Amino acid sequence: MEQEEARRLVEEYGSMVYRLAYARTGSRADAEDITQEVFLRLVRAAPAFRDGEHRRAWLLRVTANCAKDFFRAPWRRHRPLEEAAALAAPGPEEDRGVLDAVLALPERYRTVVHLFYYEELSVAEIAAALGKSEGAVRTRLSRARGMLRAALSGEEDEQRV
Amino acid sequence: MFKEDYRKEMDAVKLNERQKERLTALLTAQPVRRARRIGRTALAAAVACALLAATAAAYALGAFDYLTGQDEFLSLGQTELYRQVAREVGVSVTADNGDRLSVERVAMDDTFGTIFYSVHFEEALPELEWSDSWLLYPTLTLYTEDGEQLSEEGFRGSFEEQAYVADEHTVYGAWRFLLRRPVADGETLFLRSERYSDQPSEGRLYTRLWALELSFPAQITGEKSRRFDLDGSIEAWIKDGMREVEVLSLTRSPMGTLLKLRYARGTGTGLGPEFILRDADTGANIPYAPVHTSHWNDPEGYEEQLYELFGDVSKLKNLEIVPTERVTPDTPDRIVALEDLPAADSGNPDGGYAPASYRAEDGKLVVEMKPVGAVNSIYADLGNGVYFRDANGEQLFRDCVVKVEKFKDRTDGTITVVTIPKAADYEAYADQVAAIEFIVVGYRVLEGSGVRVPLQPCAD
Repeated sequence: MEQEEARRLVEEYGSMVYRLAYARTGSRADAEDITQEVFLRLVRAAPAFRDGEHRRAWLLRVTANCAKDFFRAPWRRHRPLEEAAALAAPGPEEDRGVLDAVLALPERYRTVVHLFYYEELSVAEIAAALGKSEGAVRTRLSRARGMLRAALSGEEDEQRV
Repeated sequence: MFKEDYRKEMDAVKLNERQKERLTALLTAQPVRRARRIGRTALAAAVACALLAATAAAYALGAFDYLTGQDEFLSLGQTELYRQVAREVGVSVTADNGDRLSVERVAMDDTFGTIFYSVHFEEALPELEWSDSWLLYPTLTLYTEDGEQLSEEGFRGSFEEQAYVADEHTVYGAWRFLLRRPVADGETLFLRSERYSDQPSEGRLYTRLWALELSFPAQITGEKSRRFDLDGSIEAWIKDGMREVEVLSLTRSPMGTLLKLRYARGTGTGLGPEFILRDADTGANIPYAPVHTSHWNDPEGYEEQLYELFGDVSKLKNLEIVPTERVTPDTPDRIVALEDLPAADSGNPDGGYAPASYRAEDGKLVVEMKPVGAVNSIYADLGNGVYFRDANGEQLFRDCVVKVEKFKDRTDGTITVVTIPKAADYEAYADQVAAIEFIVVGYRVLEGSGVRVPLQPCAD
């Protein structure tokens, strides 16, 4: 692939893919592995996208799939537990009360929360991206909101979920 | 507020310049391919959402016979059971675009259900990359007439959905699920199904090709579930520390056995408590897998976790549950030469999985992994599957995209790992496979810390 095209793709979509992977795994190292895998699949599959939105949808869906299958993925790097734990640790300087609450959710709820609140996809779009029914997505969102309310209770965030 | 704060905090999570450079270099090193079409443009043309009445259809039953003929399906170990308990239903519904969803047979007891279905596609199916294969499969959810959802999603692929493209117009599938509550024999059940394409439309990133609903009466297999109250607790490791785990109940039904545990909710409970199970009278180890976690907000702050037990536990009278602890750093990967199969050493002294057989056929590499010793739930989905090495010890398929499917044999806990490389990679490397490599997660059974729990028949 041409360097300029690669650079443009990475600039435009790299952090979007990385964030969704991080939301699912809670680990920067794992998120980087997943990001690499997603972009490799993009280059190897070379789909013909109608426009940028179509490409964005494809990348979000493949990222969600890769992140879901990450723990059983054959391309996952072997990494000693201690190293993985160190890489997973967030920076101490960051104020991340809400993000930490999301990362404390069970894994399958995090993707839905991220796609809804960060990427601003509709329930139908999330359902399509994850291959789930709209009802299942609504249920996950509803349960995730309940857990977030509980997790953020006692803080000023309580009423904001 | 939440949304804004989440977005603000997540904005700080981004690729740094070094990561971007690494990624750019990786992509630059890839050969250029011509863009190819994905999805089916004709189907992407707006197909109205259709909610159609189900119609009984006279057609040849195909899904059940087809699926029971698949090796992977046989490895579930329930084919004979399904032959006895799966009832013919024979209802179908047709979408506006001509696609037809048919429910052919349903097996159901008080606890589990399995639906054997087929989808006939009016237009010939395209060849898709495996990561896009979900485009071919419908989503399925079971409801009552009042809209109460009956089917529960499995945990981490604990219920294997199996779907096969039988020909260019047909997909056969089996969907196994947990029932949220027992269903009365004859109760009308409603199956809702949706199918999507990845083509954007009407301001959305995806297009819903159809939404269908059909109904059929529940036919419950004759034998009732038996529930046993259990009374015991252990201290077990749950991700971030030791916590008390209560052993609540065991439910034995024709289609499976469920164990229910409960523990105080923490942050990021992950896979739940780590433990092994035994028949307390015979000492036989019992493989198992988590199937569902109740994550909803229990007012008392508890989570309940359900596990499915494998093997013949019909004579179980006393269950022993013993906590385990991780041994770090992890044990090195284990490599077993094909001529040494079946292997009996899992690489972990207290228990794990070991390869029993290997075969390469029809573009698939199939490895049977058998439980050895005391197996805890870390192994329930066999992590990353398996890897392959040649006679010189070099890892094969290292940079290849492969599909990995795993199927559990519920009669003994065996997990069949099916690795499907792309055709060209299979041709290039399959003949060179000389050894199986698998990851060993080290853990130690904390003998003396367990509890023996008698099965007491529940009054109801």
